[in-house]
Amino acid sequence: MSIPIIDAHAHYGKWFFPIYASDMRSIKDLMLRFNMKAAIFSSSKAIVYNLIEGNRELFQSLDPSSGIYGYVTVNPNYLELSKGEIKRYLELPEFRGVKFHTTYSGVPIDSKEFRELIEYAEPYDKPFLLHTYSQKDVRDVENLAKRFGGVKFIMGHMGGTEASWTGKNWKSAISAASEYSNIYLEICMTRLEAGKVEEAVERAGSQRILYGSDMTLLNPAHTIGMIMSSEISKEDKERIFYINAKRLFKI
Amino acid sequence: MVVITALKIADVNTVFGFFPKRKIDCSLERLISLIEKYRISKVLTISLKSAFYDHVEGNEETLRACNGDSRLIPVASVDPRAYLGGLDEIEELRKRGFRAVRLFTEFQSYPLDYAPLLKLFKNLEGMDLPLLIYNTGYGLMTKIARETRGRGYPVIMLGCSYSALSEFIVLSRENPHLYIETSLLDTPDAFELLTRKVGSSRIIFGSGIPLNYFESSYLMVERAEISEHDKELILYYNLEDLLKGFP
Repeated sequence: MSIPIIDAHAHYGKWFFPIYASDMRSIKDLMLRFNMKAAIFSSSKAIVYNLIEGNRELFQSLDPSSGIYGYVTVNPNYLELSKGEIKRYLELPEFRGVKFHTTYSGVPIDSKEFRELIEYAEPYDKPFLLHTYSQKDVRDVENLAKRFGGVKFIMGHMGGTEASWTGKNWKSAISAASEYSNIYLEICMTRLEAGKVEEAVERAGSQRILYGSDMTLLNPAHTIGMIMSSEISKEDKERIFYINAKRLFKI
Repeated sequence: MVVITALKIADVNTVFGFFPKRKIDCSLERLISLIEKYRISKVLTISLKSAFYDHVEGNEETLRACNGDSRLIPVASVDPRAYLGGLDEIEELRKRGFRAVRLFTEFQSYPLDYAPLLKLFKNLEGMDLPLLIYNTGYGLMTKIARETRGRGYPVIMLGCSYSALSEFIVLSRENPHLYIETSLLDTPDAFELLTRKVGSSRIIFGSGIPLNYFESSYLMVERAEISEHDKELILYYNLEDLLKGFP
């Protein structure tokens, strides 16, 4: 890989699948293999289990000199604990954003609780990475983007895929990003539906599309190959792989 | 910016035709342009007409497309919803030159415990035609392995992602006829793990073009920390062995 990469969607920690490349040594090896200059990690433990333990373990592993930055994960089921985590970590230079996963917490993205956390974190001026995998998730992010015009929201997985193979989730996400300038699209997902990168660039522009790997769950090559294969310009690829994230995360 | 595919490639998972669920160019011309762009030596391919309309017409279209182009190897489909259980229909597929049979479980909604499907599994015995099936969720592979065990034909599971890894590894030990296709093997160390646990001989390269992006599948193999010999087996020679040679 000759193009430098910043990974806007990475995880630190284990998953409940047979994946052994999940420690920091394996992560650094993957970053080197794919020419990643930086990556923003959230803790898988904080997402699927305990935010306090997970955020703490992540913090202990962050190393900005090696390009290893973090998202602080919040869980709106635990409002006060989440606010405590924001206060503890978000002003640190190691942390470049907030991560929220609606599926594992069971809390909708556009919920009273999450809105309260956005208001709490807004003064730190750091983006939110939100897991989106349905049209409802996309609509929820749209609502938040409208309500919090000064906050930048990253749609993780660009709305995701669905069983029907129609692409309607990611098409909705592209529409949302084309309407709201504070919505960014992060494009990793397991299914590789050809044409989605081209459509995102055509309708939303390449300035707010971000490369994300979803490592340590997914292989960075998966999404790198998607962008490499896509029929967009070299300049667009450079923006998606590196330039947009460098600007957004102030790296 | 195209990845130069230095290794010889045979792709078990390609389609052509028309895709009704969203606008995308799936034409035969598009498939061939991708084959040429990425220097793919051989592809197993099948008309999407078999998936969405009529497998008999689809099979005819597949044969016509592959006729005269040695890079294209025809795959037949049988839609269990329209299958009346005839053995002669399956024998005819083999006689006409199809080299594998594919089920479109990802687009056709039928359960696995379904008489026409079970009859098809039985009727494929002795036909020497590998069976390609898309993995649609937990447990499907377990049932397929059980229903096809001891029948003498290989089964290649397509579309297996991180959620299918443990199921495949556990099943592969007692089901030597089971193989895994690579297009969605997307964990960071899937190839290293599978090579170690089940051996590279059970891994078959597939991309899903033109519905998928080719380089996603290719890069995952090319960048895996496995031997060059294993990569060659995965990308080409395992499929050649399964088919007992390419035309």
